[in-house]
Amino acid sequence: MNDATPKLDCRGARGLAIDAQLGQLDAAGRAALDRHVAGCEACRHEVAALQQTVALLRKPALVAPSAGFAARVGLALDAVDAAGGRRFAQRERASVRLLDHARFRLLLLGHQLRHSRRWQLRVAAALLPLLVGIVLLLRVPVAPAGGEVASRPQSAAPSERAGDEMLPPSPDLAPWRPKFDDPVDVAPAEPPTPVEELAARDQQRVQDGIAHANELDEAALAALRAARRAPPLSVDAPSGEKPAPPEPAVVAARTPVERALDWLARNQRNDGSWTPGDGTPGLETSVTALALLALLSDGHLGAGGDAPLDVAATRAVAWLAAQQEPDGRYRGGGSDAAAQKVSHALATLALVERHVRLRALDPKSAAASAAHHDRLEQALSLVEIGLDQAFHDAAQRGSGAIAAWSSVALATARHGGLDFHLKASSEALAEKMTAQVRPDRADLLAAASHAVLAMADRAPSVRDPAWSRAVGDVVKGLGAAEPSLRFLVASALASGGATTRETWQQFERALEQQLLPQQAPTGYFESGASWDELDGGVACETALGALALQVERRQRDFAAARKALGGAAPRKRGG
Amino acid sequence: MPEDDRELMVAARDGSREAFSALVTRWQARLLSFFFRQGGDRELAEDCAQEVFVRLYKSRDHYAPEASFATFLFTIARHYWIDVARARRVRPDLRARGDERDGEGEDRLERLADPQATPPAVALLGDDLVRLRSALSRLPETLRDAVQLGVIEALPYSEVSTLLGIPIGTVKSRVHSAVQALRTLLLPGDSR
Repeated sequence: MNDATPKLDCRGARGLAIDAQLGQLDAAGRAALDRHVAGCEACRHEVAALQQTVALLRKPALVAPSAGFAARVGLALDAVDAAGGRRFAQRERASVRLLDHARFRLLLLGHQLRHSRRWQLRVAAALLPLLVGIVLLLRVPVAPAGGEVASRPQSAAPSERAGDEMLPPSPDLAPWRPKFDDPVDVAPAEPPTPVEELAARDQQRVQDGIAHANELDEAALAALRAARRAPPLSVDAPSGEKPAPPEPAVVAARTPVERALDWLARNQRNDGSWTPGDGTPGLETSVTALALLALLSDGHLGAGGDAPLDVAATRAVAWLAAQQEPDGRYRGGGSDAAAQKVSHALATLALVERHVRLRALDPKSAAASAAHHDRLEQALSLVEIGLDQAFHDAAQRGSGAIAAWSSVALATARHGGLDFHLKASSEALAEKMTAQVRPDRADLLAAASHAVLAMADRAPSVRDPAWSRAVGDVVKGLGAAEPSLRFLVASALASGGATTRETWQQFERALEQQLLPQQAPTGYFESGASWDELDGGVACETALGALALQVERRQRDFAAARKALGGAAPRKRGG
Repeated sequence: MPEDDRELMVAARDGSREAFSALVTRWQARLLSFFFRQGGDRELAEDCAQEVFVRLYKSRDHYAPEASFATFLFTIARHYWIDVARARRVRPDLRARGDERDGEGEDRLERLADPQATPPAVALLGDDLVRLRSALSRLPETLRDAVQLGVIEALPYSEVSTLLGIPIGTVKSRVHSAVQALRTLLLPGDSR
């Protein structure tokens, strides 16, 4: 909640009323809501209806648990405990059984082989074919057949073995035969005796059994350790609904503006508009206009192109243009009259700025045709006609959003170098805005008046305490400043006419230190606050964040466009 | 016995079944209501609630006291419901509409109201329940999630943001949109 906003409009009050019903409103917000409701019959009725709705939604438990529910849960938990214990016990018993069995078999076999000649012969006879097979596989010479196994010293030298009784080499084994006449070759190992072989095999089986048992325990232990190290909820929270994490390499390589614009492009609706959050009715026009302004500032003029941001801008232009009624008004703002006017002013501003940029690039651009010009002039006329009422609203309701955005749209048209038939001069607009500035707060009108004067290349005639306060507040508390106020202050500062280089450098540092930390890795900006002047949710903050980061480029491009169309060059920043 | 849910969960994590049972007692009604509102089926709701408590018990070692217990519990519950809905190949809202269409919802209400069938259970019956479920079923899933957690379960915006993985501003916006839409649906004669 923005504490610096003592007075609410009806839309803001209804938003706060919901927060209040949910117990999520701070004391300042509650006080502002109470003040508004005390003087607004319509909102009193609305707050009562919302209270009734929330109460119905929160009506105590639809169903209470049946009598045996807790007992059943207890039994299920017992089963979990028992299953956990049983698994460990089973695993342990299996390991012990395997080891005991292996040890027992080994001891038994050893005993039988040591004490029973019959067992020795039986085992030897049983293993002889196997031994022959193994020897053949290993490609070593075998002893002559005859049922008797010859015993040879292991260390016999090749020269001593030249006359041994060896089978003639099989032709297909020849390539692998040891070369007995080669003194470098090592003699092949002698085949073990059946008893040695048997003992070795049993020993191997025991080792394998032990290793397997250990492996089982290690696997169980590793799984247990991994489960303990796992992040919370990973086991029982199948994250089907979680958004995919951003690609870190891509994110790290892009600038904050590019990431913000990419986020906007990814979150554009199919019809080309943006919505604040998730479908709040009526604000699509305002948010889409701001998103288009952000895209225009990055050079995406919405006049074709295959790049995703160009496509997004083109779709946004088409959607905004389709919102224009035959009388020139842009639809938007729902049923709230103030929101309707802000929507119209912002849509007009975005499309006029695009028109200026396109005409500067190509005066004969089809996208900036005379028909477009006429439609925009119609929209600008409505802005101008409503201006007095806007200033009246600013004085009466303390909300300068309509007057501020209307004036910026008119100044953009007037100083864009195009021939729109407008009555009010920028000086007159600034003067009117300054007259309505509230002395007790960092006012949107103070920032807008300086932004308008900057566009007219005019410096404020007298020292303006409200402007100084606005700049001071925004620079000191940029992270908590209202996004539209931040953008308008930035626009005025970037022109150089209303500030010094030191102030601009302070502002740039504030952008870096206070605004950039509000950007999520996926690109959107979110301050966590709500704004009475223009609460368009995350999409609105993201668009205004991208605009604030591009004000210098924006001013430079606007000045170049104005120059190309025959306007005056901007003034250099003061020293 | 600790009073705070976090302390109870920490005690349960450290091996206290008594602490976990206290949590079950404390949260069973809310969890049951959560699933009942989602599926409109009391038996299914009890089964789901029981399974969520079992999952909570199994994952108690992962609980970090910095996390709110409610967020921890409802994360498990929400993901479990997604699994259940997916397994049944029926979206919860379609099921609810089906209930209205074929009259099964009315039958279920009668069963709920029957003291022999479900003895102590029902606190809200009749039109309110039907209207509430019907209204919730008409919301888009994103808004329904937000209103379920932020309004009905009364979780703070920050926790709903963590749970749904969306910015706080989006949570707020969704809650506002959902409440406004529900106001129109639930109090049709009172629209602006």
